Amino acid sequence: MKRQIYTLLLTLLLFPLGISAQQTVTLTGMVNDIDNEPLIGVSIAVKDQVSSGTVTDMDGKFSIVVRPYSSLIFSYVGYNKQEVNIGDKTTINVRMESASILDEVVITAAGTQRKISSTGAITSVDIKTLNVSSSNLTNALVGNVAGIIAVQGSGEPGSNNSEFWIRGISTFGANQSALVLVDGFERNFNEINVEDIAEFSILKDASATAIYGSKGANGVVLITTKRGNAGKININAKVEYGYNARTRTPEFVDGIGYANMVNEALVTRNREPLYSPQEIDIIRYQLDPDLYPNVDWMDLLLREGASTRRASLNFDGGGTTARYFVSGSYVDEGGMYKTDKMMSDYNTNSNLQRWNYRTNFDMDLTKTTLISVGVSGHLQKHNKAGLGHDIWHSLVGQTPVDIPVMYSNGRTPSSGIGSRTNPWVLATQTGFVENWENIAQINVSIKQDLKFIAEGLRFEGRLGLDSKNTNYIGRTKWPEQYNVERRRDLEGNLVMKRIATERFLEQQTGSSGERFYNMELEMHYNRVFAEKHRFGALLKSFQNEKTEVIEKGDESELQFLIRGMPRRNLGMSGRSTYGYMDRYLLEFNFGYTGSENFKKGHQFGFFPAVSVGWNIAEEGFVKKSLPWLSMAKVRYSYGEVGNERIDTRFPYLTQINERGDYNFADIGQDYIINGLHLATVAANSLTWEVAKKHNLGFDINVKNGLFTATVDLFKDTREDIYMQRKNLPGMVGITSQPWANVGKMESQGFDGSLAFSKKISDVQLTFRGNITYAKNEVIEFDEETSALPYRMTQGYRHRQVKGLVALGLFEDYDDIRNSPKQTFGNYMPGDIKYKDVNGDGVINDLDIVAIGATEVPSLVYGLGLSLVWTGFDFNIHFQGAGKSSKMINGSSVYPFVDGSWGNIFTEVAADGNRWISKEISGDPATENPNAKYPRLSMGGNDNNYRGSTFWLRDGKYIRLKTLEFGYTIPKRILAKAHASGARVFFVGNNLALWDSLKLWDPELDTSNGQKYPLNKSLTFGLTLNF
Amino acid sequence: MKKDFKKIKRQALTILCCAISAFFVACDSGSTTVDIGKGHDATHNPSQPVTVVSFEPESGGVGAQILVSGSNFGSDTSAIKVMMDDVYLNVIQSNGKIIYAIIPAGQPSPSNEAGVISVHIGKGSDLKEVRAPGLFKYDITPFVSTLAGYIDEKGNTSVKDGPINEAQFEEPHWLTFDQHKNLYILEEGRGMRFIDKDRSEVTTKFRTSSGIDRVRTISFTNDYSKMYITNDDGDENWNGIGTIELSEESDFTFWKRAINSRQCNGGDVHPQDNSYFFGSYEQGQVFKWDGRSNPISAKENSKELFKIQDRSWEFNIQFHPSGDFAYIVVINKHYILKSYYNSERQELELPVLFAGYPDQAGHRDGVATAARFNQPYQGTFDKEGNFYVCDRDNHCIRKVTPQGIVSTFAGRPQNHGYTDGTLRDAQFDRPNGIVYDTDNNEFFIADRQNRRIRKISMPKNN
Repeated sequence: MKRQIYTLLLTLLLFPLGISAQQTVTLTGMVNDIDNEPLIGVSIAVKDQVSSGTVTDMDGKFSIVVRPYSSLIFSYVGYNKQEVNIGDKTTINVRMESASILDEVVITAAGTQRKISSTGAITSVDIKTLNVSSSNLTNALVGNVAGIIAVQGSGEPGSNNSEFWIRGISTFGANQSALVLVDGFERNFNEINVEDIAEFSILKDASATAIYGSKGANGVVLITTKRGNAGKININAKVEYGYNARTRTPEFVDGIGYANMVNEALVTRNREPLYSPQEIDIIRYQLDPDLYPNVDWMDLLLREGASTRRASLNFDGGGTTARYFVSGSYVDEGGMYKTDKMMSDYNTNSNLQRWNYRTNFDMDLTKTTLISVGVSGHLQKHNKAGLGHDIWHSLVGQTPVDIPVMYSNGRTPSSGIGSRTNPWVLATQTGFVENWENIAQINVSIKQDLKFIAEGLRFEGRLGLDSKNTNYIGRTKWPEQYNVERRRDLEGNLVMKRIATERFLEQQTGSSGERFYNMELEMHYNRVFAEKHRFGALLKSFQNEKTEVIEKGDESELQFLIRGMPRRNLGMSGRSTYGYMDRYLLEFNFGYTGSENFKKGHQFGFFPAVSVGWNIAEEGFVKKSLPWLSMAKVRYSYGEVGNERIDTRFPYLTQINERGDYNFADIGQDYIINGLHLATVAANSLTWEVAKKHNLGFDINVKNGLFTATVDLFKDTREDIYMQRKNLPGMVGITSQPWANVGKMESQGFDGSLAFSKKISDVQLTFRGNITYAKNEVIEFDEETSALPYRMTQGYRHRQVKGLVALGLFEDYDDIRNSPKQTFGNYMPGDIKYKDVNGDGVINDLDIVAIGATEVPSLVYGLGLSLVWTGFDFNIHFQGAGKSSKMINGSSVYPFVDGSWGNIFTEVAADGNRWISKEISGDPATENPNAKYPRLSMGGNDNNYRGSTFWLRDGKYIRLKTLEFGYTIPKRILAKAHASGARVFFVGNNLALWDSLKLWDPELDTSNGQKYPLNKSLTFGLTLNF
Repeated sequence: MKKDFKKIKRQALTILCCAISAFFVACDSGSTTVDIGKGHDATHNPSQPVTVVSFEPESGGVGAQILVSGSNFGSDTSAIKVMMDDVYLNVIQSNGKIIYAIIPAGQPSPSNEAGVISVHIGKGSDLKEVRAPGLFKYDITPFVSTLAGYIDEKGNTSVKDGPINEAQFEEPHWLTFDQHKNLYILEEGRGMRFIDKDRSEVTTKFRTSSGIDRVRTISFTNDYSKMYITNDDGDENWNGIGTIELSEESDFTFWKRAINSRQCNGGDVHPQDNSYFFGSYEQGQVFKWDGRSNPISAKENSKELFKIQDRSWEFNIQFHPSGDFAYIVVINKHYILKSYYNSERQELELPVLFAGYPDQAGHRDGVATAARFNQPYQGTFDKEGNFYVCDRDNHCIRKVTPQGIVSTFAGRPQNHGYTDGTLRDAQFDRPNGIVYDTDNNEFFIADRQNRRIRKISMPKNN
């Protein structure tokens, strides 16, 4: 046995030697472009030979040992691939032609299309222009990709991905997010390793998405991952170290400032001050930190910054018969919190670690059959403090004077329990929670060229099997916590009182899983007849199933049962394209898709889309008169797409529940008998929502890429939006409001991008810009009709901010007497004065109108410039958002609304920012009716502290999203290390922010600042290629 | 070529390894520990003089916080003494330049209305005594202290008898003096406690049991031979125990039924006529008892005089010592009625609204119906006829003058806690019962949620 193994090993070892033992020649040569400029780094592979090949050097020269009469394949990005048979020559010069824009492709649903002939609205993203600094790809999209509106709501590792919408929010239904497909399968792309991505495109209009039928209405994100290229093995390695600070840390007043404001809030409302001058001195000199602390909680708990580490390594290569791409990456994102040195057994900081892996393997089974196998996935571990979800609430709420970090007798202080626990305790003394997630994705596909049946006919089959499981272990505890009475007793001792008893470390666990299975079969036909008529067709059928496994929680037995049922889809879709000499283009797409979620007979829907295009630049007269115009295309599409994802499972089934409604007793007495009622009224003919989409687009390309621009105008009418009826009177006699397809919403806008690229002497200059604007309006919303139309949802934007219209602050009592009566609570000069919108002489809730825009911005744009000069590269990118309004509230903006809870932003406290009565300030000028904040009050103020334009802030911002410097190390230095490329780079993300909110980062998803801030980061990295 | 490739691989690996190790070595800092009891660490230099520059404030009473500024104090509080005349102040902390001290309880001799503040640093032969310039004006002000009861740090208490500083209470609720100024304390759901006139010891007279669980008020007959305690066990009919009677013979330890009634929340004996009046929550009735006891109910042995407003009215009756009128304090509707006593018929008249407003809870000082209370409970009269009433859910004591002017006497309105000190700085937690010793100018307060009996000492020279 052993001997056999040795023999085998020996054979294997000798085998390659056997090959090289054949007669070979050393071939040298040079590769130039058509202008005779040498091309550096052209990859040269020997046909049908695995792992052999080379690249051209700095002078475009190469040398390779081959057998005579073999074929060499020269390939280089942006140039046409060239195959050369060397014959018996020993030198060879190759001239490569740059690829024509006619051959540029875009990735679309079910394969690629030539860019020139595509008529849909598709944004192709150059993955190199995405600068992904965090562990989430989604954060790189905003301002980089036309057609995407995105918001990053939190900076906490593990929940710092952006929420994004293609062309904004176009439905008020349950599902507003896009369909994401990775390698053709519905998969998440947040966690994907960006180095694995080959192509990235966004399908926006109906013509591009109709194929997805009832899933395509919100647009589609398509990602394909890298595959191996024949030739020499390519090794790419990248390491990055990033330091993350915060774009904006909320700033709060210190203890003395806070105590003085407490006194002002009381005195200005004719109450006694809380702090005597001695007490303020005691705070100032820290003479009694137990009772009069002055703690900067932000400083205590937050680090200056946290680190992020990323590393990735991938290999690709292979021969013409089999190719591979193998990659692995690791990300470690640290959190902002400090940890307690005493607690060395475990880490309480927020932290995320992820390991990604991917292999894509392609085999040419026969000359016409290609089999691809891909395995990918990741393992993610996310750590945070035991009660970590409350940290920001507590950190923003805890005032500097309420409790010390620790009492001098060693007891742990706390202002309360839950989210009012001492922030230091929350972040460091409550144990830790671990979430981990494990995703494995397998795909197998077969491509069979059927040219032996008909030229241009091709078959593709794909099978995807994904499984995901998430696990949770919480080990939580908390210490015994105390508070003190506000004075020492008459002997001078502290009077302690216990707030919470100790909880010992306790463990909770949970897990859930998901299985996804997907099969697709496609027939493609592409052929050019008579060199003029380009015809393409695609027919596709698919089916998929998704099953969830969860632990039983609070839901009813029935809901639990329903959640365990698989969700299935089945469908057929197709496309046919026709192009005449690439000038006149016509395309028809359809999806006939079904879902088991609806009643039989209502399960399938047909979604057609047509589009036309005209390539003006291909017209003979244009070619003659405007030869610099490489492409000019007008395209239009119209189609219907569906959105089948709704909250409810099986809406056509009635649900009957028990409910205690029947009282068989006298008034004031209870004798309740349970009865049955309709918990859900069946909605028999319930179906998906339908989007009717128009898109008009223009593409232009001048001088082969010197200037390119794309603009798309769109209008999306969403009908049959699934919503709960809000307009049924009680006399209908049903106990729950039924659901129906009754909503309608319209959104329209534009998106576009432009680029200018030119080489000026040695400097390659590229300027890029993009913009997305989408405005929606709710057309029909099932609601009670109101005599005051502005009180309705209908006719306004979805998630329109509403509130009172503030007219500034009352100047004096005369002003109050001469103004309409405000009914929310007592008010004085310095309190907010509102506009009587309906003119009835009273200010009440009927005066609430639409103010500002929506919280999610309607406008997003990006501008970037990159310069490349010999080995140096520089890249700057600004990103902005506009048409966004934020209502601010909470205890840090409304001082003392929660009494002694709620620290105050320095902006509120700053001189001149608030109304101060002249009796307090001694200066009449401080009674400024146009001040940014009203007269202070203690314990809330119903007149001032309510949604109005007074508290409405413009959410617009511009940020310096990326600033990058790179240096590519010259090849001659690398030659010794046998590396083919190396680049060191330095990237800054979110380095600067210009906005009008100032209190916190306007992108942060919060109205009160109680959220983990967004990061700005400095990253240093190195890439190496071999 | 193969060799070459190997070499490439080896070198590539070396570089990679270097890069990767550099990547992982980059380490995090950011762990921290919390300093507990971070004090000041100024040291006193015995070879240098101690100076005292000033102190603030210029005046104050018990519990006042005094900051003495100067130099070379050191921060060792055990070596620092601050005196005001001959009284040692409680030194809390010093940062070397400022000493923070608190005026202790126990009034100094009132003759010394202006005292000398002096700082004593060091021990033994090193002792340095420095007088502060100027005089401190000592305000002899009323202040709140604690007579009895405590809660341990875990928040626990119990019904515990013993010496005054060891005893504990659970639900102190209503206070009454007998003729010797012995203090009787009702604890709702617990029983009746007793503090002797020397305030030295706490004992239990009786514990509640089934049938009398929610004892409410105590009233003595004018010869102090009998005591009537009302009780509301939420009875749904008229055979519940409404009033029990205790007598001197049993030293008020043994009770017997006096009146069966429904949901009785208060009763009082007329100070001169000795007739007993009580009420019912059911419909807000006020009854006069004819003196006959069991087994008949109030419907038979008592006369219904009037209904004060409506059903579900929780109230008690508190006679002025003159017997001319009684205040009817409506607890759950937050107001006080005044009912004149018709001495001819020996009956209470239909009452009139006196202070607060029905169903309007809140805290507002003002005149009569403009004022607001939140669950007022027991009150007590001073010599001028001012009524001091526990405003339970406002956590303070209110003062109602005979003219109906309502002010806040003690406590921090709507701000509960346990703090001794000057009247308006002190804190209570649901004060429920109050009684005034006119001879010694002292109030006693059943501070229910603080589980303590509190004391307000008024200046004696008034």
